[in-house]
Amino acid sequence: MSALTQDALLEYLSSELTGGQTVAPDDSLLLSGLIDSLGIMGLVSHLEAQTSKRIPLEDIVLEHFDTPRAILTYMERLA
Amino acid sequence: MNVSHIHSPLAKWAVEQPHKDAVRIGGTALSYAALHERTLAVAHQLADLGIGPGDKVGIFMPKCLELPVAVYGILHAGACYVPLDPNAPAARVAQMMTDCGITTLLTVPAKAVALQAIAPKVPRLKTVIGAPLVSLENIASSGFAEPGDARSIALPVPSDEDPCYVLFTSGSTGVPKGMVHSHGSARSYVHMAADLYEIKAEDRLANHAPLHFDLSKMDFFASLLRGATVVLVPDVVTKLPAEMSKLIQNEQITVWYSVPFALIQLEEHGVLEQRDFSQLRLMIFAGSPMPPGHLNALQKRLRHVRFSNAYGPAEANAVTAYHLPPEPHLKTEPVPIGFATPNAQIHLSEEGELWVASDALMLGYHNRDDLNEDAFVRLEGTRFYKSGDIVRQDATGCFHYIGRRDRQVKLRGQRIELDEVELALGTFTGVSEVAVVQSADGHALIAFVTCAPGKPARVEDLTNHARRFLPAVAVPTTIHVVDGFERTSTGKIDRKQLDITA
Repeated sequence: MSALTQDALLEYLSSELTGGQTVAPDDSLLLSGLIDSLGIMGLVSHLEAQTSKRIPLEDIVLEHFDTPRAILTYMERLA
Repeated sequence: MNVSHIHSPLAKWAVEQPHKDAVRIGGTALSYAALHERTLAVAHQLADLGIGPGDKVGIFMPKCLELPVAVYGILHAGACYVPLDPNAPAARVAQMMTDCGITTLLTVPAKAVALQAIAPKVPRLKTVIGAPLVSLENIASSGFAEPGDARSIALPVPSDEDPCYVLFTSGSTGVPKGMVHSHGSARSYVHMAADLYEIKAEDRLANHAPLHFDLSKMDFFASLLRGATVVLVPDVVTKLPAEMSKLIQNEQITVWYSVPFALIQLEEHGVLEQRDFSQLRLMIFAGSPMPPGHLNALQKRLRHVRFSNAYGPAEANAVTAYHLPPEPHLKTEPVPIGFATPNAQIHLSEEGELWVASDALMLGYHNRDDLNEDAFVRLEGTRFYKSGDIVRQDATGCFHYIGRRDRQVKLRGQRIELDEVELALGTFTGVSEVAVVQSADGHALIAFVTCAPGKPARVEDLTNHARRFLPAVAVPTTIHVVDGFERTSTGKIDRKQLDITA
């Protein structure tokens, strides 16, 4: 299992999901429309692969996934 | 006062139930009284700009509390609302606005940046309301007028033939075409829908569809007609199934109306076993065929909910409806589109194309007499709209959808309905959605399939399944199992994005 770093997450988001647009830790990903529904599912798979943790469907909600910082906080807490 | 227009009931409810929520979004609400006051303020603001019956006013905003104020404000001014996709590319929005001759646009500050790129491309645009900080050459901008500014001058009442709303749809050439509906056609549809789905004041309708998609009319206007509450589903929530199901639970939604895709998302990722949907009584789906396997699974999960399939091109509003029996639908049987709605008269052409006459038909495509020439036909003096949909009618009078007339392709000399191939693959257990296209060289069919989580389908099994239901020539040569589809802004599969190299 590898730890998820902020730099790696930001790099993944801008290279894979936002079409090259750089992302800051507190940028809104979903409310802003920056990434779409396919993107969020791709992001979940990526996080699961990176951390070997399983993200339950009920956790895929706005408060956990709207910003890179929220994602990092949530992933840290996730057992 | 004429109380028969689709916006008219607002004044009545503002008196009879002033404190009841008319519209809700994200935990905030507008009561009927507040909505009425703000609506009148905006209507007078528009009237002061010289806007009245026959004029088209743009709406460019995401789902928010200003949205109903804009819609009802424009209608109370007697004018016609033109909802523009808030996420569409600037050039496309500008094209639609120019086509409609829009001089006035209602928006919100969040769209100010986008507007900077759009406005210079719209020669006739004079006024932007709702984004007061936006600075554009030759264009005046201001906020929404506040209640209290309104005066007692009577607002004009449009005639039944005046335009009420314009919805844009992608033309086959890529140039959007605007469907113009009259106040009369809108009323015919709204009254029929409110009766058909027995909408009552106690109902809480979810508005899942964006305003520029025709499903939104039922949510807004059937709820207004009956004094019910409409709960707008924020754009972002439509992308997160677990959030969407939480909204249905927390907002105690009673009536849900959406494209099948949203129901598929709810069934697959909505953690329904953790949600309380006890208030939900009716789920209506429309816009594309519902995969029968998903319907079956949803019905088993939500035993107390009635399901209903609605069919009707936006040009004609509703045409048929099918209330599913309480027993779960068979997993492999396409869902019928049902029986003609009370306001619709259906005629089948020789090749099985559905033609419809109804009080809810559009006036026509805006500025497109070439299209109008082909879209309508007169039979014994009655105007019918040619839907382009191939259907069949069974012995009970029930209609079944076969496919789009223009999605009929020729392969090795034989006519094939691409939609029929999609329906066949869609009945395979575990398959979520299917898109079938003709290869670029025209010699083969290519299928794209998504599967339910944990139920991966093997290409070989899919091919064998297709062989059981389809003539050999219609069995796709290539089947790709993919993670998901690109979507159009109304939630349908964007087939133009698929790779059609054989």
